[in-house]
Amino acid sequence: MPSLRRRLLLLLAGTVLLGWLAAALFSYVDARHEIGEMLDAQLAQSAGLIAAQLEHEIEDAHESAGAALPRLYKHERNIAFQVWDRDGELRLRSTSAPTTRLAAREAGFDEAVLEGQRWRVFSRWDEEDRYLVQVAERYALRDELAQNVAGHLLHTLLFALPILALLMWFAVGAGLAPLARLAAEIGQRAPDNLAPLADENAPREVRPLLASLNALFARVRATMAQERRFTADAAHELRTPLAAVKTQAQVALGARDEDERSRALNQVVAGTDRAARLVEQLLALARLDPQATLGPTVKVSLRQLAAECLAALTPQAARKDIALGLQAVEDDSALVVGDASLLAALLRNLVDNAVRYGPEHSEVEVAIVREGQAVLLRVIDQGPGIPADERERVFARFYRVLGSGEAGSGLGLSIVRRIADLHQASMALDDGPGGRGLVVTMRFPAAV
Amino acid sequence: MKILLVEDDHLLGDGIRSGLAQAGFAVDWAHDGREAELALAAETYDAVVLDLGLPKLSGSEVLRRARAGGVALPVLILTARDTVADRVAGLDGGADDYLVKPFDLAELQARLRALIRRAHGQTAALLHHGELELDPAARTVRWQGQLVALSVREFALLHELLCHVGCVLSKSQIEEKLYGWGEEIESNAVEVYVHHLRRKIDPALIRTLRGVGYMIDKADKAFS
Repeated sequence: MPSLRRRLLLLLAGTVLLGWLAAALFSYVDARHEIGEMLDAQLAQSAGLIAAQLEHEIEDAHESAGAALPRLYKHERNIAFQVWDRDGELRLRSTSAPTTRLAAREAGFDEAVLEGQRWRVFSRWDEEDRYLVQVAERYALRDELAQNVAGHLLHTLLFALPILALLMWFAVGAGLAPLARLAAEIGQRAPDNLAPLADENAPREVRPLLASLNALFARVRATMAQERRFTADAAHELRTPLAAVKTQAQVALGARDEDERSRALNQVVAGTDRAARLVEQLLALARLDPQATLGPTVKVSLRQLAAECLAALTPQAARKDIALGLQAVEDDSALVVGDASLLAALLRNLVDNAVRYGPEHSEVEVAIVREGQAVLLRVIDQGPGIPADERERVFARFYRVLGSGEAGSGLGLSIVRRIADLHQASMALDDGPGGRGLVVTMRFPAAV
Repeated sequence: MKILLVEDDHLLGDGIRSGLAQAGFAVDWAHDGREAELALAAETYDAVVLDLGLPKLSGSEVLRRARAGGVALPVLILTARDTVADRVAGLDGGADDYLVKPFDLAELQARLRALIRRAHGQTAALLHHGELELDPAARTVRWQGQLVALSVREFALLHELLCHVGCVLSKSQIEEKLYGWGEEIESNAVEVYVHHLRRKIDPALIRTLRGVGYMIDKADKAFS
């Protein structure tokens, strides 16, 4: 599992390591330069000292021309000098020095290669211009000193890095504490606690995460509230028909004569029908609700669906002596793309409403018209209509138009609208012809 | 006993009306809040059965207004919402009792009897008057220990008079208590029922105050 802490630690430790190595390299280069200058000065100074002391030294050593002086200290093999006279004769040299000239130049700094080693040479004449003094030093000394400086740094790093890494581990942990706190807060939440997380003390980096989380919480909260409301509404709506059925059944039980009993029993049947219809509608909505888009679609002829629907509802219409009529364009012009069973449910709800609310001996007409790229479906009844100020509300679940005297589920138009939305169809409610009844108009995009 | 039933659902309202009639209650059925308000203003009832989910004027609003207007009669609410909060809101809103749908018809009848009894200041379930005993729940009447067979209306009339012992009830008051809206009232029905009661129980039980109404005397003065 990827760990933010480990990742941060590796990044930090890597950065520190790189920085440290760069510092060591820089120190090495810098030290070499400084040491070079310092040793150059020393070299010049040594040459000066030798030159000043030459008089008696030469006298002491004049019997052994070119004699080497004994080694004095550990770096001596890195240092050499020669004293030449005007005649080009080597008068004095250190043991480390060769018997040939160290450098051709007779003044200032020069370089020489002896036995495969690079040497730094400083040459000068003494005060009386009698002797040429040449002092040399191996470059290796300088390198060694500079390497020592850089090596010390690297050495320290070897010990410091693990300690630093440990400290960084804790520091990163402390730095990530707000995240850990947030995780703990979410982890300890009750599953139904969807209150937004407080973000006033949250670090800037965590805020977008908090904002997204809170937005998610809000969405889940809204969905759950909607579900709860729907379930509560559904239970509430079912209670009344159930109460009616129970009451009527008990009236039948307590009936004093056969008329009263059969009347009450008929009411029981009516109540059961109503409850069953309500349950059906609830199930239809429950199935439709989570559906964001239509499943597989086909080209459906609204004319054909309407004809089937009217045929199915004819018995119901006949009981109220309502004449059902269909006025439609040819199938070719009435094609829409959609789910045939849902469109059939839409038609059934609309026509069922029209029959339910239409008065006896009236007419219900279904009209299907082609209008450019749209197929219009109209269901016209001669019922009480819906007052203009209620037309938006009738789509709300369980909403019933007052005084309609009909015991609908209050869900029919909710279902119709849901199906219409899924088919990208718009929907309008208007007064019927002559201000009487209701016209429901649905505008479907025509199938191409 | 006359009940105002306020219920918008046709099937349920019809069932409650029939059920209460079986228990001897006269029922006026209002289908919405407005109608209920008008009925409460126009007539006197022994109790109200009030559905909370009503069109035009919600049941709780009807109740609030009625209580604010000084209506003291017992109110039983019918509700589909059964959370404690809903019930508390109903009772605090002025209701005397509540039933959650779906309820038992017998329980509704019993609760109404209890509410009415309490409203009349009686605690015992049986009404006693001298040697007369009336059981509102069983709907039986005993006179000197013997069961007396009474029709629904005769029982209702006797019950009404026993609830108002010592008070005169006018003929129209009695008619109101005995008949729901739309029920045919024969012009001399009350006289006929009084006559039957006197014949079946005791001629001295009910006193007629000519031009005023009928009453049953307080027990100590009864049958002197």
